[in-house]
Amino acid sequence: MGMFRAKGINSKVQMPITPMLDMSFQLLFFFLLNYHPAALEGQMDLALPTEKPKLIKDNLAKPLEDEVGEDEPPKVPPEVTVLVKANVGDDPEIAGQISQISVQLQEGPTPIQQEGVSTDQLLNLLTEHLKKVRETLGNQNDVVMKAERRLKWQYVVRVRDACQKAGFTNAHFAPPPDL
Amino acid sequence: MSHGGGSDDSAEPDLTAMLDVVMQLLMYFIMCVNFIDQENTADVLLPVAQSAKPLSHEDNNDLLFLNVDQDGKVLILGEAPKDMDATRLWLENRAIDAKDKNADRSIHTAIVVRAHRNVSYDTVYKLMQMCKEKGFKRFKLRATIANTGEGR
Repeated sequence: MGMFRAKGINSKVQMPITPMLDMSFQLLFFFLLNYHPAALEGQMDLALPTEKPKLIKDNLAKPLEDEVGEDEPPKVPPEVTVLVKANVGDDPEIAGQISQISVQLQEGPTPIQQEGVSTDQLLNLLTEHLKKVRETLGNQNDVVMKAERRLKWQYVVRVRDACQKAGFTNAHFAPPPDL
Repeated sequence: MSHGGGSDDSAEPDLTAMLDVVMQLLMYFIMCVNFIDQENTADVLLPVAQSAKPLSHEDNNDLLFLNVDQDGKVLILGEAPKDMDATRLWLENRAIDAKDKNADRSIHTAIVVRAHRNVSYDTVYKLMQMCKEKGFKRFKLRATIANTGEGR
């Protein structure tokens, strides 16, 4: 071993970095091109309701049948239903937006209406109304949403948001009444 | 301009520092890239929801992704866009696979619905109903998480 060292005192062992750098750059470009930063995505658990959503009347203790979507279906059926009507027409800007919201209880439906309000304001009004209604209910967690078939999915999700803000943690999607 | 003073002088730049930086960038992008996310089709613009909860690692078990585009077509990774009839058939096969996984023939697979924000409610509802008919009982709706204080 000593013989080899003595021969070339000035010789250095140099690692060839350039090819490694080339390869690293190629990999870097590959990953740069494949990098698509997405918006932060979340998820909501979901429940599908019965074919005929039951509003509570005299069957307080009767559980919902065919309830799916959640691990534990509610023991008491939902007492409140949010009905959402959709705008119709050929104008793609307006079609599929919310035209009317009403909250149905055992006593009957109550329209959430105010002249000249935006969708955001309408949803805020819905939240406020649901908060008041919720205090009078036995089942304060479950709400049924019944939207017309043409309603755009984004508005369905926003109505669900409004229900959640009011304290209803479980939203059940009912079949569209006009399906 | 002559540098004839020392014969060992070389004009090679020191690439080590550059390589370090490149390697660090490379590691960053390798960590960020997730090819599984190709299940999440970029064509689907999700609705915005404040009630959407961030995804956790526990949620990544046994999922079946169904992307619904603006025209109501169902997009599945590695498959051509499907209409409702083709989706029904596909779900039937997936339900058989899911049953085979468990000894008691029950389905624990959760359906992840990623529907475009402008698709109509009946499309999403029919799809979920179809899943229900095939025996899938767990659903998860995907949405973009909204900032709570942000007005839309």
